Amino acid sequence: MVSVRDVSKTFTSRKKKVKALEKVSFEAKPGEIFGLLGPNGAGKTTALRIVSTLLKPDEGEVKVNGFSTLKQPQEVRKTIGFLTSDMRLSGNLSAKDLIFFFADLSRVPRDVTQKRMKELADYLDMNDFLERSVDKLSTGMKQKAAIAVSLIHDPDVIVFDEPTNGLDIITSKTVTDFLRDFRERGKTVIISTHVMSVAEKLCDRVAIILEGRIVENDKLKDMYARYSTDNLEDVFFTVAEKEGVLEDA
Amino acid sequence: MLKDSFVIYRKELKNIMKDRRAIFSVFILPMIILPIIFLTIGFVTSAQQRTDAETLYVVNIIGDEDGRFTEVLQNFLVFERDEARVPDYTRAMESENYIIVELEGTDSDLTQVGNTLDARIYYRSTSRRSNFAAQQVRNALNQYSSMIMSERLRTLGLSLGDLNPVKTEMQDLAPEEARGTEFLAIMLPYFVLIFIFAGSMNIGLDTTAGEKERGSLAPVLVNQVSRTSIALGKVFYVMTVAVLNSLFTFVGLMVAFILGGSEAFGGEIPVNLAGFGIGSLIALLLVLLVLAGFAASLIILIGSFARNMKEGAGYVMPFYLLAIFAGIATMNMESVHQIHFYALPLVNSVFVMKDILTLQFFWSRFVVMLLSNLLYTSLLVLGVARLFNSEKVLNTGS
Repeated sequence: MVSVRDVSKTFTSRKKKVKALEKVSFEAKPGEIFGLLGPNGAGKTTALRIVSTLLKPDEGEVKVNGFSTLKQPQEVRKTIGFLTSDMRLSGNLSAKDLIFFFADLSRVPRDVTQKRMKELADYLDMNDFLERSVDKLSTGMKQKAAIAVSLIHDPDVIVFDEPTNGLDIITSKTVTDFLRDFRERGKTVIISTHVMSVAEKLCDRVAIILEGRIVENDKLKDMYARYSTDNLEDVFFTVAEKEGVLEDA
Repeated sequence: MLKDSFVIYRKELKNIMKDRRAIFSVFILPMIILPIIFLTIGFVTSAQQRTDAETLYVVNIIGDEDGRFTEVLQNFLVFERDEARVPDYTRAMESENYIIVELEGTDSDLTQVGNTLDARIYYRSTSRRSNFAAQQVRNALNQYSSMIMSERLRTLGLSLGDLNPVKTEMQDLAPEEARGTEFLAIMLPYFVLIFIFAGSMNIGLDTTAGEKERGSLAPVLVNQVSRTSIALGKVFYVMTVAVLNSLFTFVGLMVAFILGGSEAFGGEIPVNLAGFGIGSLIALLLVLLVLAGFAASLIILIGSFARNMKEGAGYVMPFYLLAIFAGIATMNMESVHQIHFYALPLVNSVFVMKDILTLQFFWSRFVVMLLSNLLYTSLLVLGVARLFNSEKVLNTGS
């Protein structure tokens, strides 16, 4: 369970202040995929980084499985698997080396790591390239390796920034199938995306974020009912127009 | 905490050990580059000197009517006389192996006091061979001058030796085992300083700014190990590579000297390692360790500030140049006596290395150097840990 309450965040760059998040609140529950939908620069990545303890909120509170990201960051990190499409595995280590490295960082015993790695490799179809240097892997293989790396400590919550960004159609399918499976196992999944079809296909609940503010947050079917439509695009543009974001663009 | 640092350290080291190019550039290259450079310079220098000496020069000697100077010159230069007896300045300007020597006054009796010989050498300073020939003519003229002086003194019943009433004899009181270490004391600290920085620069930036650029730092930070452990693991890793890099540089330097590469610096330079005991080597290793610790933590701190490798390289460069400057500035200096100099980073290590290499060990200097470098390194590591504990380490925009 992830609960974000009235979180604000401002960045200062060259004496210029940029408000990235303003009083953002949302909740993601176990057994559901929660999506943050918004255009580039809306504050999605900042929100996910705050949830993952990479950034600290200026105001508000974030709790992951009851642990505060500010007061108990180490406890939060134990329960989180963090993945970003920006992450480009590189170097001379093999996928197996990296899996063991991240397992060691999470203090997973070696025999448990071995067992989980086998399960993940079977599930993600990684056995053929497990021993290969990551520099020699294709983008899809790297993404699978990154997923395995972030899940080796069996987290309850997975935070995935732009999960299908830059992936080919087959790897995208592997990733979305994996996220659905993760949900079925009662885990909490939070993703960010700027692609409406991804949010539509994958998420149970969606929050639309515009210019650092959550302007809509509901289950998809309830949202469709309120806006008398059957697609997210209509909802998004209606909300964006109401908020004056389209004029700014 | 150290256990977690070791996980980071082991992963980074394993990564570099699997990279053949990195192994070559960090470990093998320093070991072979110095012998190659020294031997090449030595070979080229001696080949040039041999060619200069063996070249047949044409010398137009004007005014040597009795041929005495020509006879002396034959001991210094392989040449044939230009019989034209008219100075051809254009040829001297254009040719590499043609020079003119004009002697005025050979017709007078030079054994008589008051009579002088004026000699003028026409050569081209931009030509190496012309320079060599001119220098040899000067040497021959000096010998010719000594001959004339001897003849003058003989008429007065004296000899050249009578003009030098003071006989000087040098007695070297330096311990025999310490003799011949000066050259090493000049060269080694300079190379160590450069290679410690050069060796740690790329890998230090890659493990900080590079990881940030590749997006692989964030997943490491979202882990239960403390950020200080992550920072320490990276510092230890860079420090290890820097120390190994310097040790291989040291081996390379020794190989260069053993193979005769010291000729590159003007001929036979004695390099004496007989006096080096285990104590000297341990002391030298400690200097290397603290110097590498300082360089590694400095580079990790700078790399952690930078958003990408390019920016990091820009930030590190002034410090690298500073290290080169410190190396050059102290190259020909002897260790200073004022103790406060041993608290100055970089130069303190250079001075203590010079002390150790010339077998003059001073505990006070060594301890001040060691403690001050440890203090600077601790402060830098503290800075790295603070940076890793703050969100600035990711330099995120939005």
